[in-house]
Amino acid sequence: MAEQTLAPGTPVEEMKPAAVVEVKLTRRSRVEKWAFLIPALLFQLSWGWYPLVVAFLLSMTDARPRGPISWTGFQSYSRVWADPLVGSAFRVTIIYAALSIVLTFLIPIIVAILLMEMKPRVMRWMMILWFLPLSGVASTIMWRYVYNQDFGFLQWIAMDVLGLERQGFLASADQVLFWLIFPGILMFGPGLIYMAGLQSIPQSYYEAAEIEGAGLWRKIWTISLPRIRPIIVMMLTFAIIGSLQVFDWPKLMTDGGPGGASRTVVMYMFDLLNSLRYSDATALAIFLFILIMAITITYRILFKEDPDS
Amino acid sequence: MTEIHVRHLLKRFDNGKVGVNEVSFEVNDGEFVALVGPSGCGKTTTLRLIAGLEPVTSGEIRFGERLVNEIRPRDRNVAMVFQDYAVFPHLTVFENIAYGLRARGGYTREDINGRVLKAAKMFRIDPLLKRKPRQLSGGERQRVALARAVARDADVYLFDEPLSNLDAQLRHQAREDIMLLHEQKRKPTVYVTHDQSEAMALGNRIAVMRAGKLEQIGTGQDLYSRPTNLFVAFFIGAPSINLFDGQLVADGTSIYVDCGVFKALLPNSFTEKVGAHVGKAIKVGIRPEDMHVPKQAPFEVSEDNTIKGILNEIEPSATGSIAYLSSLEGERDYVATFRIRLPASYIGKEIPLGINMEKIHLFDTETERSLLYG
Repeated sequence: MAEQTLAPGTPVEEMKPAAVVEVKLTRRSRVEKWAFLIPALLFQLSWGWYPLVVAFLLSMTDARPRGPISWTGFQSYSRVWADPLVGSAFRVTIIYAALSIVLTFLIPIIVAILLMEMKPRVMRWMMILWFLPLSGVASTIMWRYVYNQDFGFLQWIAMDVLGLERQGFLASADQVLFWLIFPGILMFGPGLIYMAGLQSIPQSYYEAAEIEGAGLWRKIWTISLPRIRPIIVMMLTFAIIGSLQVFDWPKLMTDGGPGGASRTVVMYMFDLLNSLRYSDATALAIFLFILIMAITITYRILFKEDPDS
Repeated sequence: MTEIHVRHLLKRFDNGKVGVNEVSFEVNDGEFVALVGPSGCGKTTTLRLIAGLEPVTSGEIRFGERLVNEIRPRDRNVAMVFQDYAVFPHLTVFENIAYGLRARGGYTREDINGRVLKAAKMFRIDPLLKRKPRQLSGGERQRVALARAVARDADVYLFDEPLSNLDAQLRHQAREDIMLLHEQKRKPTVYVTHDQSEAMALGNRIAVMRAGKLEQIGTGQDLYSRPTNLFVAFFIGAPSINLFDGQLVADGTSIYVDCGVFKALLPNSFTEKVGAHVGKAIKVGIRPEDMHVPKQAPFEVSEDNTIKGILNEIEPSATGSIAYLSSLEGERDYVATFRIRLPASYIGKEIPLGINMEKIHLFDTETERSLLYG
């Protein structure tokens, strides 16, 4: 720390605090800083950026299982760009992402806020239920039965209870993306995160609001939601990225059918890899990467970080 | 016109613990009552029961004639300042102050602006209206909480240790701000604190609580000079009252207080009250300010009202000095305060002090009730 010495009789204006002076790192603390950073950097390089770089390089070649590999530049990109199945996969993916966010993103927020209003005992039980280690694959297969056209529960509701015509559900190209969303909500992970966020809000805020005359709705609107806003922003980022990369639910329930109506970008990438078209698959991956980056950056610009949180 | 009537108030928590036990008191219109006691004595719970933040187990709380036991906090029309201020961090100072006006509705835009500005001016935060609480100091945040309470016309004002998070310098200013709020509104006010000097400074009357029970309620002067029990005598006053174990001894018509350390004659006016306790063990309380250097005592000092001890230490205080002494036999420590500065040369010497026997306190050892004022 630089110490400030003042000659006696220095005018008051010159007695400015010396706090702005940047503290210089000593050699020892520089070494320590790198010692702490290097493991994280290595991890990030080997598991994060290395596959990305290799995928990018691969996409510029005619990579195949055997034989010499040669440099082909952007050939695979133009091939993928011209592929009508790619266009349809992007359309499917974006519709799926939009539907799932619009229809399901708010559900865990609402449920978490309402649960907070319940008795602590009820709340604890709900949290335990949310924490149950459900198998995603198993429950998704259960959903396949629910959606079954012949003996599924939903068909029973549609025909016997509501008296509608026989519905296609997953077999209908118009409906399939809508029904695919719901197995995703079952995993209520975000609800737990919202509840943890809500629990960290000081009780006195709610008490003060109550005394000032606020009802339940106003308390939610003026305290709960603003306080968990940073969590909502973060969860929305994850939801957008996750839904654009959706693979497991359509793969397990429809395998892209009927007629490609539920074939998402990642599923098509998977198909390309299976047919040994490595460069096309990685080129498609790069396209998806660019789309996700663009959406995420736009989104981060729109929702700036809140300094009051 | 509202008063707060609290009658036989009882609060049993879910775990069966009794937080407030049969507490009854009144707060008159325009009166400021300080609720004081050690931590865990139920003072904050009592306040929260009045606010409606905790449900009452049994007993009654009335605002004027209105029984409020089952009424929600928002419908009781109370204002409350919290220990952590509960200023909403994502709202500006203006929005914070206007919160109650908006929530209750029925105010025009101009009315809200006017009230917020007036409240902010009162607590000198009008230049900060556009700021967020993050940009304010602790003292400023507290003033936002006061302004929020003053902007609205509540029937009852409640304070839950509002000064405990402030440093000593700000605390004094904040006390004045709270008095300003009270003078402006002149509504019944309950103020919870663990600091007896704060309670003495602010309260018209003080209610002392211990272990869920109300020990005594009265003016600061009442509690200080006529405590009805040992706890109140010990809790009120700093430095605390000196306590000695002793017994009452009769000698003809005179009754003496014999503590071993000293033996002193009780004034005649007390003999009737203590007659039944002659021969029994009692506790004797002497306030530090009721021991005097013999030459300066406002009464005649004789063998019958003198305590002798070694002076261990002298501490200068704002009003004079505090002397720490211990008795010759048994090394009982006691404290005396003087309006003069004692010379340091007295340290280590034996000093006789005259006890003002008119102001002595006597307590039953078993019940801890005062024999004189209980």
